[in-house]
Amino acid sequence: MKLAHLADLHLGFRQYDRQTPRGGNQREADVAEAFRRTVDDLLVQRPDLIVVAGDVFHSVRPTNPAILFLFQQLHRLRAGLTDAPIVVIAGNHDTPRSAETGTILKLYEALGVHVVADQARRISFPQLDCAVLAVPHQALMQAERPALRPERGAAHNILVLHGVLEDIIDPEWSVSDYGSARLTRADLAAAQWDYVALGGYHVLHDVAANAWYAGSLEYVNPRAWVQVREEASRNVPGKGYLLVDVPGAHTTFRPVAGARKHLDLPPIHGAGLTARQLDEQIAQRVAGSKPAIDDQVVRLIVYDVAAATARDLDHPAIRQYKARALNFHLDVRRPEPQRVVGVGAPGRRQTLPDTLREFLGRRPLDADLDRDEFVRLGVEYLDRVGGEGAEASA
Amino acid sequence: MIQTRDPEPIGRVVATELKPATPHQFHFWTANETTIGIGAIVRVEEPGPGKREGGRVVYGVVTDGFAYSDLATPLHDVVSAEGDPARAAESPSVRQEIRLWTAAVLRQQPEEPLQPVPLGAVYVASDADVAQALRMDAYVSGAQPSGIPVGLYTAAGLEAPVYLDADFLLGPEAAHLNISGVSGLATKTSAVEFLLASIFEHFPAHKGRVAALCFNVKGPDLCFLDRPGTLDDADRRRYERLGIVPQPFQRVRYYAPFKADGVNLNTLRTHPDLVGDVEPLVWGLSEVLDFAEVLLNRDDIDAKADAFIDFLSDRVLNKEFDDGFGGGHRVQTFADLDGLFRAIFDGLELSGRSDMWRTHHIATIRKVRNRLSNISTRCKGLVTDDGPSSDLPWGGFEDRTVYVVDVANVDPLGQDLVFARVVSKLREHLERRDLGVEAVVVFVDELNKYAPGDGPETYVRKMLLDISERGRYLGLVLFAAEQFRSQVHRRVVGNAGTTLFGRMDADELATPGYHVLSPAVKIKLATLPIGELMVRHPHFTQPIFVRFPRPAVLRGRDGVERFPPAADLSFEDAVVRQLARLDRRIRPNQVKDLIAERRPDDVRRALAAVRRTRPDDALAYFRRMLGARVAPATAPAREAVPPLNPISEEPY
Amino acid sequence: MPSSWVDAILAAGAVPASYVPDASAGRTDLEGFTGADGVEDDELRTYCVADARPLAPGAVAFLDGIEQWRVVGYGGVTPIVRGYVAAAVRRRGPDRRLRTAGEVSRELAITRLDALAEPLRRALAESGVAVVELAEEDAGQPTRAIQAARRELERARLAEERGLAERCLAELGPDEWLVVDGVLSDSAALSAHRRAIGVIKSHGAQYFEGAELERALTLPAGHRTSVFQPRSRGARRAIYSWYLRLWPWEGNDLLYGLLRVEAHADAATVARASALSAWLMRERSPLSTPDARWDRLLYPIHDVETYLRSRAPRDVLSHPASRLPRTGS
Repeated sequence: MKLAHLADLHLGFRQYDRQTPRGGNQREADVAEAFRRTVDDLLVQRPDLIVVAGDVFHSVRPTNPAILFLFQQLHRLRAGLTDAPIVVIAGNHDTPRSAETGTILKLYEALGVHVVADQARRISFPQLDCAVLAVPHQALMQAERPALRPERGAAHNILVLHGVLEDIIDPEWSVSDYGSARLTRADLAAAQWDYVALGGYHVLHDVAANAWYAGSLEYVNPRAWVQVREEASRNVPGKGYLLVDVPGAHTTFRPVAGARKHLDLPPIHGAGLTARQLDEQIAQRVAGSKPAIDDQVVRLIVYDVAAATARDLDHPAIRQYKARALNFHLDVRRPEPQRVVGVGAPGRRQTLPDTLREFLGRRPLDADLDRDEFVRLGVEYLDRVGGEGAEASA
Repeated sequence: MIQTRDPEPIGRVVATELKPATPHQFHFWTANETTIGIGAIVRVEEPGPGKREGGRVVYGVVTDGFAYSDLATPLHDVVSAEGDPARAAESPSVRQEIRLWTAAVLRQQPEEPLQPVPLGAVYVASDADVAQALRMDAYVSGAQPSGIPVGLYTAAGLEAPVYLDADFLLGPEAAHLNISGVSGLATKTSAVEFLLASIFEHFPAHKGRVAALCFNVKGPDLCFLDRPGTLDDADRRRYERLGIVPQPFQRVRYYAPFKADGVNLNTLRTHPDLVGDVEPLVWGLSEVLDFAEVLLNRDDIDAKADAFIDFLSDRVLNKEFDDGFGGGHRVQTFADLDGLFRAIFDGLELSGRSDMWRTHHIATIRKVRNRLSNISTRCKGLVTDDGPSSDLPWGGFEDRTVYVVDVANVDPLGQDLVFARVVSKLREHLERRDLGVEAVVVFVDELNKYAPGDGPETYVRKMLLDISERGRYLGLVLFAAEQFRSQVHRRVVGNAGTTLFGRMDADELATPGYHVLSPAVKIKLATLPIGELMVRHPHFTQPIFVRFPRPAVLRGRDGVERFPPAADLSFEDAVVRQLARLDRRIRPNQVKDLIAERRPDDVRRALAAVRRTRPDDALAYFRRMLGARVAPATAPAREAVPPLNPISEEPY
Repeated sequence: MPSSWVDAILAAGAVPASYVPDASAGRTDLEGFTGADGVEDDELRTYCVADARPLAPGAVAFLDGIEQWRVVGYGGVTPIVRGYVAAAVRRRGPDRRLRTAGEVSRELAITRLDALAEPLRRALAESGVAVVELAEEDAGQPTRAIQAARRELERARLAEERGLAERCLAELGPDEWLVVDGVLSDSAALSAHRRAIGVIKSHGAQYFEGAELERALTLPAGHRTSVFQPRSRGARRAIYSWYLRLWPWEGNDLLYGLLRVEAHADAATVARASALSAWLMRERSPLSTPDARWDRLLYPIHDVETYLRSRAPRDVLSHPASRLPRTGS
């Protein structure tokens, strides 16, 4: 059996003030386009079962184009893959906070899609000898969660759920950013399943050999740059969905090309540079971008630029870059404040914590003391004293 | 209280050129019929210029005794009896005999100048004399007394309390106690139980709080410390004389791992009336991995394996980890770890590259894997995949409380692990001064096994050495017992400030460590009755024999008879019992319905979560941890979707 | 073949012996033959005492004395001897242990006062010590003076012993006997008492000759002679006596293990001579080793002597290293 695992479509996601020729939000159209390309590929790959692990829509009340678009695409799938069941669960983005709000997802039951929006359901597909435990966001948020365990009776057991495994949260993303249900590995018991299809984490990620986050189909998070960096560090080949052979859980990543790229240009260290020099470097970075910045989402960080210098930058040029790119974010950062200790000392002046750190770092210690911990404690105490002093003088 | 002193001397010091009196030893004779014997304390008074008062007073303890007559050679006795032993008894006269005793000096007054013992009259020691002789006057009275009764000195019709100095028993001046004796008499265990009771009652207030942690390593010895045992009148009298209330320990906490089924406790304290207060002891992979060295160097010292374990702890455990063959791992459980091992072995085999993986040799990796999988299979009830669901109350140790960790039926490997981790944690918390008490007495029996003098260096032995040498500054005090003191590591016994001896094996007494003891003292040790001990303590210049009352707690053997261990419960019943212990409202059927057809692992995990969390409504929490069951429903038969008219307008 | 003649005489019937007489050490003062009258038999016979039922008194008191002396100074050539005499009675009751029942001791100075210078005489007088005067004829020559002093000392000892013995007799219970080391016949009271016996180890006086002497001196072990009455010499009282052999003499000398017993001169003594002998045979045990005279020295007498020696002033003896008790084995 071949299973397609999609997640985090976030249809209706809008970003940047850039419109399509028809007047819609360009990024919304990009996100839709990614899904369209996915459906194109699914019609070629012809999986036996399609699961969508939550956050189909970016919000509980999606835009009308998004509703229409999903209807259109699901119909394509249903008509093209008549025997392949489609199981869709609601994620934290498309789950209403109160029951009376209702969910638009139910609309797609009319197309024969299995929509699981509030309580967990275990759906048996006798023709596939397969049972899918579909656990929407809502089911994980109630006091008594469902037991995420397979039942006897089906040859193949698939778990579909939307939530975040505690131990893979990137520390830079605080949990509050998520609003997703939190899960432990013991909750999943991946070893008991043939495959666990996870949604809620936007970068392709394996949790176990047979448990994956498929990732989103587009960069649909305000912090796209964090995703870009994570993809680079883990060699993730971008956005797409997973094809899974069951049993065995052999996965194949099906990349889906995006409408445009996210370009994070090499940062500039502005310390000691004049506005002119900075202008030059910015121009160089823009010129050196591959592909060219036109119609792309672009970021350029410039460190250590004083406010006065920033005011003197060549703003017309910058406006020009902004016009070329879909979005051009010149991220000019102020120098980090440093407390100066000692007057007239040559070279870089050390802060008091630096001095202490350096001293504690070379002071002879008992062999069984952990130096790192020792230094950390020392600096912490100093901080505390400094804080008290500041309060007292304020 | 002023003691009226019996004015009659019982002997006289004699000294000859061959047997002179020295500053440390003297000889005296007594009447043939006398009340003193080996171990008796005597007082020698130097005849002063007046009749009695005057000179120096010397206290000594009898270490040897001699009897002989004026018979020139044994042959002469044969001759006089004409070779017939029966006739020897018919002699009209009995030969002149002598009772000559050797005593070792305990104390001289004045102490300076130190001189040979004067040839004076010998008196039986009184209560006050015993206190003087043992220098107990320095710490039993005064502004901050620190005397801990260890038993009664009993001789010549006198019973005098003997005290140890808490500063020398529990630190910081000296610390640790070692007790030797043949097995089977229960003297060692009884002595430690009694002494703990004594410490709890007499540990001086200015020294703070004290607790005891006992490893029960065999049988039911320490399983009933909170139950009263039988005492006779003599015992009660001794308790009164020692100023100790004869009662079982008021606060005892029991910890035992589970059996392999993960729900029945692995202890002999499983009688339904008692099992309720036995806390499970359950640890997870990271707790085990922190002390994995314990598992390694039972057989050999292996720095490579240590390094590999450190690598696992630091780089692999609970982290995203790339095995180098394209596999990602996040190791949280033993099963995960085994997955990683398999991936490494498969990867190395497939690549055919070499025997090395990240600078670790495959043999080392195999060894570590074997040991770790050993512990997870052989100590199934102790280690779980689910983290520490139940542990000792680190940081919350209570004053005058005994913590019994029952590892009697745990695999030796597991015993070592428990031992290493518990002691290390104690040390860690005492160093940080956040254990909850200022001093902990750790009782370990079977030191011959854990800290032998020879044999391979083990982690446990290293740790015992470490406590022995540095524990006294921390308040970590080792009370250790063994059968053969001579076969325990020198530095462990050498650092014990106080040493107790019960009845000793004759072969053991023949080893060099006992050469300082006289043959008579050895004989006494070899035949010492239950309830008597020989004590060495820094304040006592000579070993002293004391008698201690039976501990006021139920002996293990009797406990097992009075509270026979319950048969193992079925899985369901054990789960019911565990939950009911946390919440008395819970009915068995509610639990059984909940867990029917669940996987035991899931049930154990939910149970562990309940134990960890201690919710008000245990059953509800347990249900939540198990999760609601989702019944299967067959997908409704669906019509194929007919092609629809295209939507009039592309949305985007 | 230097010693073959010894073998030859043994082969010819001589009884083997091994004895270096005291005489070889210098002193020979064997008294001459005095003679005795048969009491039990006309001619001296031997009796085996093995079958006799030993007398078993309820308690026995043993009496012995010691004397010690040394020359402590000279006045001119006149020696001044310090003498010490003591006697004790040790009583043995049913518990078979010996306990001191009475003792006397006396220190005396023996010299010739008028041979001493005035200051010496005065010092002696002021010290309060009892002074025994030597005869004038003995005082002139130091060697003679010393011998005379010894005699005076012995006389003093005998007097103390006699006095103590007589006091002891007065307190003797009805089933109690007194055994004296030495002759009874010096004392009228001892000689007359029915439960006092004297045990004599030295055989200076000889009462027999010819076949009777041989019978007496070759008495087998465990045998006694007939009771006889020594012919009285001087002031000695009438007494009955007999020989008793404690240990086989063969291989030693004729006097080895040979005791002469003295007892009250009456028919009862004759009747119980064997019972008394059997009792004394039992007193062989325990041996009074390491005393060299153990073959004849009864253990209780040895005990009294040991007691007295341990009580004697240390500085009278020339050998202060008398170790008591001996720790030989």
